[in-house]
Amino acid sequence: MITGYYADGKTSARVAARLEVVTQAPAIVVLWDTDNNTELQRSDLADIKISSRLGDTPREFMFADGGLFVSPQNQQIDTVLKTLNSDNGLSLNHRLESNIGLVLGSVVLALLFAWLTVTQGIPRAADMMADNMPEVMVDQFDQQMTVLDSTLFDPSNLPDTEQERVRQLFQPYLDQHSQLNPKLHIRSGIGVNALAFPGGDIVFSDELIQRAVNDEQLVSVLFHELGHLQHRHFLRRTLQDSMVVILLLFVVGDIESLDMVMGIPALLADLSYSRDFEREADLFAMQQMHSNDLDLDAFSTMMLLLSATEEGQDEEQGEYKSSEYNFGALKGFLSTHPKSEERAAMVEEFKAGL
Amino acid sequence: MADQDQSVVSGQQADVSKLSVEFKGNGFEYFQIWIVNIVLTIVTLGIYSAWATVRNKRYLYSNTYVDGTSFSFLAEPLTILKARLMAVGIFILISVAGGISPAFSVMFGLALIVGIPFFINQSLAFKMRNTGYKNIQFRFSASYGEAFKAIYLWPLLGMLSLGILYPLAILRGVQYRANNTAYGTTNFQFNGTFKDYAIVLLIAAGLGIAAAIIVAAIGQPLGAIISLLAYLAVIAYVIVATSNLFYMRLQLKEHGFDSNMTVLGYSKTMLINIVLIVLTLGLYLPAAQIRMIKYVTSCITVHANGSLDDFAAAEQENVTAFGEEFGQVMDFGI
Repeated sequence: MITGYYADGKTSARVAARLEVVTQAPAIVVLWDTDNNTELQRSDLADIKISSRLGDTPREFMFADGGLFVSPQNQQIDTVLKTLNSDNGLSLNHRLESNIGLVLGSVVLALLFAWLTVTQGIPRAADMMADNMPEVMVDQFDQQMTVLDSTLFDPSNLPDTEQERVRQLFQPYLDQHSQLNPKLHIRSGIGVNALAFPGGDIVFSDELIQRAVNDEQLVSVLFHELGHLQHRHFLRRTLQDSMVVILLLFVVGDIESLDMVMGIPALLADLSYSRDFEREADLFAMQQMHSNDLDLDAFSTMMLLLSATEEGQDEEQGEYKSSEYNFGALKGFLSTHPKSEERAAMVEEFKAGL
Repeated sequence: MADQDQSVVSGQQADVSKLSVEFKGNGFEYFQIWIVNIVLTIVTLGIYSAWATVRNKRYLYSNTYVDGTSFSFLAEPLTILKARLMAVGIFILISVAGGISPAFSVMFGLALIVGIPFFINQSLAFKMRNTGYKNIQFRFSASYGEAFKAIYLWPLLGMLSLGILYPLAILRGVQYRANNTAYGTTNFQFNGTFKDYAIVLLIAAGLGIAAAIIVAAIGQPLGAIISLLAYLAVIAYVIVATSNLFYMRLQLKEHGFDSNMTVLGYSKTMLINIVLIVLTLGLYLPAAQIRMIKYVTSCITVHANGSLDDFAAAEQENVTAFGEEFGQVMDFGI
């Protein structure tokens, strides 16, 4: 005998009820109103939709006419269903879910899968997609700087002569990469920063130009930004981020219920991609510095100069001035850019490999 | 697992008017279900995800009790799977087409702006249609115009009036959701006012300004941390104040609701969740969800004025899951 309550589906009233098996084959059950001892339902077990066991949540028996019997007595229900040899309402899931070894195995498998997908699968897929996309028309980005100028940037405050000097300095290197269609813009309002946008717009801030001690350091930053363009980082990051969201949707099921919390894994993946792209751009910069016979140390000196700046001011997250907060060990994990020491070490490694 | 053998029928107690909302699930149990679902989803190349969604949601709904009776999640996995495949297909099509021709992206963007109110209506209808309590389903039904006004028109007026009408925009949004929702044939009624929301926003603005003054006085290094904390505190305040307001001003016939969430309680729950999720590489997600639900439900009470037994069922209706799934893929879900 299984006890619970019955709701007929017409009103929200519920009555205490008990379910009894009348005959074994065919399996016929009767549902009794416990208080009045009247018959509520009589049905073949096969015609009842019984919910599968799920943790310790109450089981639901949906009768053909929409009446619902609910009981929390999972153990008894399973026993009764087994003796009736019915697989109605008995699912494999609960057995899997309550097997600790299997759960632990699932954890390992899920972590391994997530790791491989996020670090290998998605970046490769995005790479392939980016390579197979037609060259995006240049004029599509014509309006880009106008929009950015009216929102993010302020005009440069550097004297015209200084701006012209930087342009002259960069011109030969920009010409080397004319297939990327790079255009230099000097602006302020973004702190010590340099940014590259799809379509070829490269923005240097006044503050960054002033911070550099020599020209080679400035050129190293330019090459880094050209690296972002060369490897289509903007497009690939967008593609990768949307793939992470789709993956999360499929794997976790719903991302809406706790948007703020569910966003964290996606954010961590995005930050990890960002750091990979920075490394790729760094490598590009070093190769270019080398092939142009420029001093590779200028690049690492620039990194150190910029990280010294980071300590001092801490307002906006940007290309070089990453949003690093003091979380100790978590610092690297939560940052858009690799640590400056790591980037300087990369230079040494690169030099050793020459 | 031991069965709870006590009778589920708690008896008719007409004199008791304050019914607590109880969540009986636990984090580890949900984790077991969740992780097995994930592995089955991976093994089936994503097909199982619809069954996983149903199983996860069923766990959350079936463990939420009001007056000793739990809610039910009623959606069929196949309905969700069909909609999900369609939504992802369209999303991929749009991404690829947008990469080939930017003009297509613009066209699609415009179509989406027109479509969003329709999809949000559909998504809410799907959610409500698949929520049951005492074998009576919830319903949501709103016109396109109502959705359009709540989603675009009022927020726009709020901005154009430099925030003066913003409380009204929030109020209209909540009214759109609440007043178009029904339990069976009985509509909910939201009695909040412009003044309610104006007070919340004024306090939030006041907190923000106070924090800004303190930050300016302290100076940069420490100020950055304080402004981040203040920012989070203001967000927590707005979330807590508006959801308390929602329940306090909500009515279902002669029955009322109450909620006493606190900024401290909410922030504590949120912070613990965030830290544990980061430390466990996301494995804490399901337990975090449970922790938050437990906190929120523990703060809500139903003020039953007499019996909750006489709600009548609405007519049968079918709602596709497309709006819901599309909303999640395109990230305009609410």
